[in-house]
Amino acid sequence: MLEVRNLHAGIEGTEILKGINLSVKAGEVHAIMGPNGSGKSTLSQILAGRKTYTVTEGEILYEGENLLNMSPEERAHRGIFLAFQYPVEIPGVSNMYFLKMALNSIRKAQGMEELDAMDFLTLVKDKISLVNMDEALLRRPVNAGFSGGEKKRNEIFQMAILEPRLAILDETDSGLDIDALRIVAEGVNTLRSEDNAIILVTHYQRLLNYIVPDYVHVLMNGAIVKSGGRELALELEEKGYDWLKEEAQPAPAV
Amino acid sequence: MTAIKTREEQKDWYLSQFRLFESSLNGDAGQAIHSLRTAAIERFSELGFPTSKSEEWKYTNLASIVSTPFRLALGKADVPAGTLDGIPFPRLVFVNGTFSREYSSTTAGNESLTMASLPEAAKFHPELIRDFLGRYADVRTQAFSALNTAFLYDGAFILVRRGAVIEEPVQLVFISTDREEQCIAFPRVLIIAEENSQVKIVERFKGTGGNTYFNNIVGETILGPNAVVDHYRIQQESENAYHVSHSHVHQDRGSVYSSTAFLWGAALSRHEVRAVLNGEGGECRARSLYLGKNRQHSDIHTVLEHAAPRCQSHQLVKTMVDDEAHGVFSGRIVVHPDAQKTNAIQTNNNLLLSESAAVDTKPQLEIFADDVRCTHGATIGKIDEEGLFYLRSRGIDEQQARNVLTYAFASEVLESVAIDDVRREMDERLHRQFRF
Repeated sequence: MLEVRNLHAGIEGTEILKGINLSVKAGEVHAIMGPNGSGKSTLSQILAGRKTYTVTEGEILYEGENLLNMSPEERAHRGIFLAFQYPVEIPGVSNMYFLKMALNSIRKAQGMEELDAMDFLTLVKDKISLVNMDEALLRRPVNAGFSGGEKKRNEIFQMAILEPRLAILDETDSGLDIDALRIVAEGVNTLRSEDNAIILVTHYQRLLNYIVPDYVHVLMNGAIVKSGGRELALELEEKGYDWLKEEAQPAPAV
Repeated sequence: MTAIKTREEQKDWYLSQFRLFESSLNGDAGQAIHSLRTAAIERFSELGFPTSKSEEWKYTNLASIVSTPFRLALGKADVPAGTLDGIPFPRLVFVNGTFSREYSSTTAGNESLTMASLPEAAKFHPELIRDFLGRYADVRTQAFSALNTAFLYDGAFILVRRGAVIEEPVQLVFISTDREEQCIAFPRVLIIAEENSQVKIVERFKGTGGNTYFNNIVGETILGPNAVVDHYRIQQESENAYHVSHSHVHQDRGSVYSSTAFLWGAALSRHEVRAVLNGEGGECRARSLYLGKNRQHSDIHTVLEHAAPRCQSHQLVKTMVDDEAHGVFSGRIVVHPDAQKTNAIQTNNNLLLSESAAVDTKPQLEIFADDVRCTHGATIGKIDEEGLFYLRSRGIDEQQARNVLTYAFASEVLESVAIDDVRREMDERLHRQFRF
């Protein structure tokens, strides 16, 4: 589904990603872990189409096509979803209105009929219980005045409505209490299927107690320095990231 | 008449219009107003139109108004069907500056509310007209107010009696129809809210054609002790119109005056609110929303004078300019020496929607008391990239995402609209503008 090959990217001349290789197949859950500043969020944002970063080398293929040529909206239309680390507040536009606009944009692009208000409401009622979100938040402006936990739940709720093929969760677990974390995890597990893939970007392994990944990658200093199964996350939890530092030295040419 | 070039020509032109106007009245309208007019035309002749050398008009080029030989709009005009659709009663309607009985509902001598044309009001309340008409409009320094007063005859009169609470909003509608090119009208509004009374007023300016015309408006609003006036202005002049509005507000102790302006139309407009908080504990709120397109120019100017202790003022001015539009905000807050415990807040947010659009913003604080809290802040920015990316990452295309964020920027002014119908109308207007 997703092939990241030798990806180099940066901002204003500073290289942040220094040759990332990552292969994600349908049905898989990948966790990308790493200390602060390792480039995790940069990778997430580049996958979703943020133009703040410049890709200087390498390529990304999504379902066999060049992802880097696609606009953020086109990526969304093709099933990519990024749950933001810091969801943006949009005053004056209700959550409900926003979501309907988003869903119908995607449906339209996929050649499906747009949902009318009634059908949309039914869908919303069905999905909102999944994230245990207060219905009042639907009528409130998007994320405006939401608590940190409410914002993160709102991201998962959006994900549930939009049903992406590839979901990228950028530190969705940061700052969540254990109850909220469990709810978020349940939401993600519900989405998990043979056809979908999930990339969990996280600093801590706690989330992985609830969402069991197929692969764990450690990102340090802009490169993946180690990959493994779930047990790697536990090892990181125990030992921290420091022991991997030597391995973060420039990798020998392949 | 070709374009007016010199100051002398300017003066002569308006003097000739003034004589024409006076003769059209046949001595009607009473002696008191006559002497107001005569003094005002003299003052205008001395002042002339302001130039960009004047600090208060620094960013607005008035050349197009100054050079055009505008003619008085006399005689009756037809109102195109549909112009008044959706504007409820009670209302006073003026067509090209002249009161239209046909479309209006008046109440005179009513116990709680009087709404009438000025000539009518002069019959029922000669003492109020004598005491208040022209009392707070600053004819001495404001050329446009002087010119309006020189041509003072018709206009709207609203009187809310002591203790009365008027539930239904009072609508004032000033229609400018398509008629001869280069007409001028001088709408005038006098609002008196007596002690402890409450009223909501919706003042609308609607252009129905594409011709060039000039509305030079003066309003005077007087609030008695503890009176509450919620005043909305919806400016939807034609795209080639000029609109200069001076609103002079005088507030007694404990009174609350709110002004909310939606500035949609006109090629060039000036929206000016000059309020004096003259009694302890008064509050003045002034909010404006301006959305400029094409080559529109809009100048929002406020002068809020804290002349008594413990008064508050809150200003929120939001400007969005697209294409080659230009927006100006200059807000002056004056705190008199005895106006201790003043709390004055001024916020001006500007959104540039194109590379060629421009804004000028200038706060001005003149504080002569020592125990006060005055804050002001101005921002000028473009559409937030982060917000844009967020919306696009949800599948919303770039143009629509921009529209949504522009709407979001404007919506703060809508939130404070206390009349549901007006809020809905302005909300729909914004949605239409931004096509979502």
